[in-house]
Amino acid sequence: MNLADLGLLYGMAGALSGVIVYRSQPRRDARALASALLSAPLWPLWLPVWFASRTAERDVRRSAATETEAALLEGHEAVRNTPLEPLLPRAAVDRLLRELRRATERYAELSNLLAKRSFDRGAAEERVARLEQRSASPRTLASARLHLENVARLQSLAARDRRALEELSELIAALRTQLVFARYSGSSPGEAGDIVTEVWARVEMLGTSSDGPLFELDSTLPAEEYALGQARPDSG
Amino acid sequence: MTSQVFAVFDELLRSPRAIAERSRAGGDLRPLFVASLSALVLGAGVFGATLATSRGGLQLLYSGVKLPLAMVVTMLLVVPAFHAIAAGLGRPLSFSGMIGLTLAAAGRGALVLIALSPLIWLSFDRGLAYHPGVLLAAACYALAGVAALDLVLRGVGFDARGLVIVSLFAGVLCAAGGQTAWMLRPFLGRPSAQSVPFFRARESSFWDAVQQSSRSSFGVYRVTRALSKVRAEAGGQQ
Repeated sequence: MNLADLGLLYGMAGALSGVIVYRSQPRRDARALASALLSAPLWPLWLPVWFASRTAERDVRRSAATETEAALLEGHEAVRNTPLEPLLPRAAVDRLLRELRRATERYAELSNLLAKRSFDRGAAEERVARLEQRSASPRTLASARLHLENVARLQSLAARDRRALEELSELIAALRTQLVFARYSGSSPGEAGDIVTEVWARVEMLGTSSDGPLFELDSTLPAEEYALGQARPDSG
Repeated sequence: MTSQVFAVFDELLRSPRAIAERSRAGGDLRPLFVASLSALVLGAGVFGATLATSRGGLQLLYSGVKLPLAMVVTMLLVVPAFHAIAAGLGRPLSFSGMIGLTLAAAGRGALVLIALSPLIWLSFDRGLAYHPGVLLAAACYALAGVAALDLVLRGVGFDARGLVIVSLFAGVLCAAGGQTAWMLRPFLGRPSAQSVPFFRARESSFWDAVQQSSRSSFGVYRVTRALSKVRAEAGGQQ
């Protein structure tokens, strides 16, 4: 094998790497193209870094959920076999963990879905604009607008889930420290009780977040979206 | 990611320790990779073009392209060896961390080359001859290499074992980098050459060239056995 053969093999592996990197990107935009172009000539260096980064991103998402679960379990450990245990009994912890995992999985699914090209809001907006420019039939336009609205609704849902999970995570962390403090200081568990009540309220909200009103997004959509007599989604 | 890349670029200049820790920690090293690669291409490109000021013309473009290419190809060749050396001597870093560290070190070295470019430019402007020019360039590479290896040493650990790892890696780097650069020469362009080639014909090896340049800089001009063979063959063909 001479230098030319080696170069040919290297180039083939580079082209294959570029295709793999481009196709495995959640969004096929300029960044995906840049990543693929970097991968083609520098695949022995770029591919390991790229794979490690993807793994790290997944781990970060997983560890955030794990930290909240750990905080909850630590909070329970702090009150176990003490008069404060009824505040956070094991059965309640298990139910909270179940709800938390369910909500985290739902948010992860939603995020993955929204990362796909077919659920990209910018692309949907561009499509509507293109159809408007082309003077497409009202039915085609209405379908494209409905798609855009649904994508916006899903985005709104994902944003709300993320906020709810973040708030719940902070609240559980505060509950843990409050319970630990109450245990070691012997102080009244009053504040901890309030936090527990708040945690339950948030968890109930997590469970019903898909049924509530969704249309914070209305303010972000241009008014013309409804111009062709299309019913507002919350008007039934 | 753009802001992260600029932040890493800043760290590359000001805080090698932070870069070393970032590489050791692993995780998302894409900003480090992009910033280091940009520094490498920019630094080596500027230094390569500066080297070519002795000749000027098309050589400026050729050297500005070839020197970054030589450094990137060297990185491709030495990173697996570095990973094997470190793992074999009991300092395993993740492969991606090793890539980040090596590339960051090369980027830092390239930034040192930018800093040395005015010296090269001034020297050639003051009439520095070809062979002393080659030696001056080699001294600049050595200085940049020290800055780069300093970062590598922080990454693998500043102790006896780290020193052994970095010494072995430096040996591999010198051999692979020297030979790669030698294959992609000329970077300065011989004053006697009529035209400016993108690549020069292959003759002898990097080590032969170092010996010959050293002798020539002291006024001792000897034709190597390999070179005389090539010339004899070329004469025979004519």
